[in-house]
Amino acid sequence: MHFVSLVWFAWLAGTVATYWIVPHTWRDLWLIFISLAFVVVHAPESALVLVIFTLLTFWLGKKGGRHCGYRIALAAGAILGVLIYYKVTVRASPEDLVREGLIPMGLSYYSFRCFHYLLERFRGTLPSHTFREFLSYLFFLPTLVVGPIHRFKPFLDDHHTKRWRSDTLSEGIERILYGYVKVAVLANFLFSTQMVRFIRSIDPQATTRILYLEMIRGAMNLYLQFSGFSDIAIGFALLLGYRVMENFHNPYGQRNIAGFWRSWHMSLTSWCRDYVYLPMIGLTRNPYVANITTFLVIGLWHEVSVRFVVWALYHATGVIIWREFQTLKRQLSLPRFPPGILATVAHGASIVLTFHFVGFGFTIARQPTLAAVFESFRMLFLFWW
Amino acid sequence: MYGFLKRYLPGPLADVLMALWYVLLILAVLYCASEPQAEFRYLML
Repeated sequence: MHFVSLVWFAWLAGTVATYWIVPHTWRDLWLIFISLAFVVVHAPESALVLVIFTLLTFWLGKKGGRHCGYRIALAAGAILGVLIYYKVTVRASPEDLVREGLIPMGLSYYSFRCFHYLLERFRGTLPSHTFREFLSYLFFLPTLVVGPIHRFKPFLDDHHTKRWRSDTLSEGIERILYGYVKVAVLANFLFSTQMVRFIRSIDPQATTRILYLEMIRGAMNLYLQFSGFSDIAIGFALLLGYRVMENFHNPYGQRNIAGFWRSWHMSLTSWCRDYVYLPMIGLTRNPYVANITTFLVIGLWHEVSVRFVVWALYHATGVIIWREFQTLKRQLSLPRFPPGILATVAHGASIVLTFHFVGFGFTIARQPTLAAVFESFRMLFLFWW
Repeated sequence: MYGFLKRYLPGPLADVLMALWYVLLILAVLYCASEPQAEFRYLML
């Protein structure tokens, strides 16, 4: 199933149209039914996993509070086990699983929603709610497949206050249109078909140039695809009266790696900040350990593999070096560039540098083996050797 | 974008330009819809 297809568009349009037609009190049940039907049709195994996760999360997290920590740990452990099992299995034979329809669609996203719910239950921060409201949160079609990993409390607020509003509706349609432009026109047409054609036309002996262009193409394609899907999901949610959290905020326009991580896949990074980084800081009082652990979680969330561990350590190192540099700047009281051409050049150079750091990181994640990663880096940086 | 056009152009002209912009985007999406879809690893798992 692709997002740029009549099938997905039919699901989207059909959901929105019927959602506002059915009586107010039945709307959430109708949306749950459509979401479940969607998963059953496109990834039956995912429907089973999602239903089990939902029951497990709600019933074991039902009482909440710190005195029920063992129940919450049991639910979180079971979900983590299933997530790791699929991550490892899919890594071993992705083609077979896709062909047989056995990949649980959206598992990474709804697992993290369940963890969020369980951890907030443990902290006792969630307002009182019903099982039906919890079902609406997990079986929410717009964000089911590719996120964002939205939070329960804002969802519940929207759930109680949502109503038909023409300005929200037009905002949603516009957002979906821009999402489709990013995915179909910029990512698929420009940065996939056309740029691949251009790269293939280059002399195959010029491996460094090819790898460099491939790095830029890959980085742009990934951002446009993912932010396009997020735009479609956010727009779809707006059409149903919900405002889910943003996922991207100009990540390639950031001046440093910390800024990049504050604006890239924000629903995942803020999740990791709240549930990994801050608890680790509380536990160890060591920002280095907290940083490395957080990036390892982000890396392994993408894929359980050595290359993603390397990718995570690469970014953790980048962030640590940047933090140390900031401390050093403060200690040495280095002056800022005065406003003018020099400041503008420094601003532009830092954006270009950050983009290249991130792009080279994606090169690590794209290569099949570590040996291929080292070979790519050798050709990029030591091309004369 | 609409706010920007409204600020610098007469109202009806801004409306027409905005409508044309949307039509252009829709046509571009339809034109590119048959392109092969790039592999997107985040989509499935």
